Amino acid sequence: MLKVNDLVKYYGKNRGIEGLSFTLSEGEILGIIGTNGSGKTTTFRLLLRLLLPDKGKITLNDHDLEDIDNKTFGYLPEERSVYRDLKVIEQISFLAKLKQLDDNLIKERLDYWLNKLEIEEYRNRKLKELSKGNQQKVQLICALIHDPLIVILDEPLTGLDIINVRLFKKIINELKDAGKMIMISSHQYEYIEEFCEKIILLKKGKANYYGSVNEIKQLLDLRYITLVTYFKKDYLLCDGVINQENSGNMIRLELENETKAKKIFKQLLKDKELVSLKYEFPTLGDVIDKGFIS
Amino acid sequence: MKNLIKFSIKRRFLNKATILLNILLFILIGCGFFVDKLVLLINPDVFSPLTVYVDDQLWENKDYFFEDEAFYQLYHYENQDIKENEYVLYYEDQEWFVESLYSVNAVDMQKITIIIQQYQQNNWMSISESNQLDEVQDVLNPIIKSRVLSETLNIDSDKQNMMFVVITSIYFMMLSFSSVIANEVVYEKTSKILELILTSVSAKVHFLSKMFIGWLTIMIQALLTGMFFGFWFFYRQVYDHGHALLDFASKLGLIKVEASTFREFFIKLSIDHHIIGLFLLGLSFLFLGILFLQMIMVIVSSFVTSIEESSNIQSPCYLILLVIYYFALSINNPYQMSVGIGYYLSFVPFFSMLFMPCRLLLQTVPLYEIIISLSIALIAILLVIDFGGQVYKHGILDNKRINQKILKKITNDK
Repeated sequence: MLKVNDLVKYYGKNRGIEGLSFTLSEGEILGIIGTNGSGKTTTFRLLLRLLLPDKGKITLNDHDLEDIDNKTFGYLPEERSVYRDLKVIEQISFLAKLKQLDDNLIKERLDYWLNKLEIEEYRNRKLKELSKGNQQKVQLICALIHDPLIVILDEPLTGLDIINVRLFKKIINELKDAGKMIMISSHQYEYIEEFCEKIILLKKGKANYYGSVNEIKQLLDLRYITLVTYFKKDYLLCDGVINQENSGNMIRLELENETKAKKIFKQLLKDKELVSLKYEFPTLGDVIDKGFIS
Repeated sequence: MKNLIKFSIKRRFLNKATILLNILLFILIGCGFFVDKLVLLINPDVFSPLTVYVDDQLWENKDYFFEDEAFYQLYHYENQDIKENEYVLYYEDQEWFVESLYSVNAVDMQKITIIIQQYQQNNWMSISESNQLDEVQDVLNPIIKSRVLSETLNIDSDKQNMMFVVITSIYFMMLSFSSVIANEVVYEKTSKILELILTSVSAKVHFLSKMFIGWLTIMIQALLTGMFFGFWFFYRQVYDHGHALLDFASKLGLIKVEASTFREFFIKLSIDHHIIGLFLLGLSFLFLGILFLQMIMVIVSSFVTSIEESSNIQSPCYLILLVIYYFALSINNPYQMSVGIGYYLSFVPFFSMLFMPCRLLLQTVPLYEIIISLSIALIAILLVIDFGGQVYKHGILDNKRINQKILKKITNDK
């Protein structure tokens, strides 16, 4: 188990992280969310020993982080960290060699991951010739090729198309099933909600919330109905609708409580003009937007 | 560290720019070894003797002109057409006149002046008494014999020049390579690849690997350059034993030793163990100095946040190095190197890389002074490795630890 206890990091007099504590078990995914500058990357850097904490302790299975093998962590940074003039296999092999992997093992795993991420055809291409999404795949291979126990993914799905998002999700779930400890940061709350059992909400370097995703969602009694109509209608006039959000052909209604939501939903089912109708519980994004944990 | 070094060295040498640079260097060295042929190809008349025509009056006294067919050829002027690089000389109303198709170039004018001076001297000798002439000669050309009181090293100027040329060439070659490492750090930092690398190796290992890479790069490049020299030297040796090249250098006054083959040249130079030792010693100082400089540049570059910023930091470094170089040249005399500022700077790390080799070329430097200077340079490097590693880590990761008292105060305040 990874234990982080009362971690503090200041950049001069500016707060990076203050009093951060959490645990992470094998086969568990922890989501770290927060706005820009909230301390997500600082947290990752402290775990990776790229930064030294001013205070606090990090242990893995009761061993101090300093005594832990550098193969323990796999890191996918937020920015594209690539040698643009290198070939795909050169960049991956270089970073794998730094993790002390021998040539045969590198070749074996390289073939496996290039196939799995569907970029086998790009193995001898230069990184600058690859799309952002494919560069992200190369970075993911760099993070996973040494089979780390703890996987840190900083905004892994940014810049990916829907097909690749699905592919990444599949891989992340496989890693979870393989017993890896996974930490993900993302601005896209829906993905965090999908992956993570636990989340940390960081605000100005402090953890505003640390706990289960389900628990946090239960804080909100609101319900949502999303529908698609080609006719403009003002649903705010309906009883129980407290907000209406239009986005193209989509309308998302916010309802006071479950009872009123169900009542309206039944009425809407009878509307023949509707082409799509969806009943939703509050999402993680809704909880955060409503300021329940800010 | 081994993987980092292997990776960087491979990247450094197996890229198009470096390959092209080395091809260019190979061609340039080849041109150097065949410069005589190239010059003659461009200007076949460069060493051909002057063609000088003289009028009837001077032709009557042609015996007063000195004889040197390699220098000039004298003809009687009989109104023939003058071609390019041919001159007509005549004396009229106490004045000398030179007629030519185009304006006379400086070199030819110098030669014509010598011809006229010799003519006048011989003419005068014929009408003067010999003892009078000796007296005048003594006044005009006093004989000066040098007697040096302080202890100096007796190396002839050819050897000194050769060593100085080699050392300064290496100095500038190394300078260009020292910035490459700094640029590499800036690139890795700004592209964020450094974060990935540092999850596998410590900042100190990364810093040390950069030092090794820098040094190895210089050594490999020096080796390559040496191989290019070796190749062309061997080729020239097979071609004509260097005969025409040495003749060319001699005519230009570049070498004072008279030799018709490379072998003869090196025998006459009498390069003994002592000279080689001095050269290697000078080279050691140069390497230590460049290593020191490289470390400083890498440390400074670790604080750079953009490629644009890196040039702002590196430019002053180059300026300082150029100033040091010209300063070393300006005070490169026995006095300054024995008791003046050059003496003291030969012990100061970084400065010693140029000043100690200068001293070694000019005078006999006591062994203990060499050992002291070398030790100071080594200690300075070790200190930079130790402290520099920490500074480097802070620079590349902004990893500044806050004082615990200040931390307590900040957390209490908030």
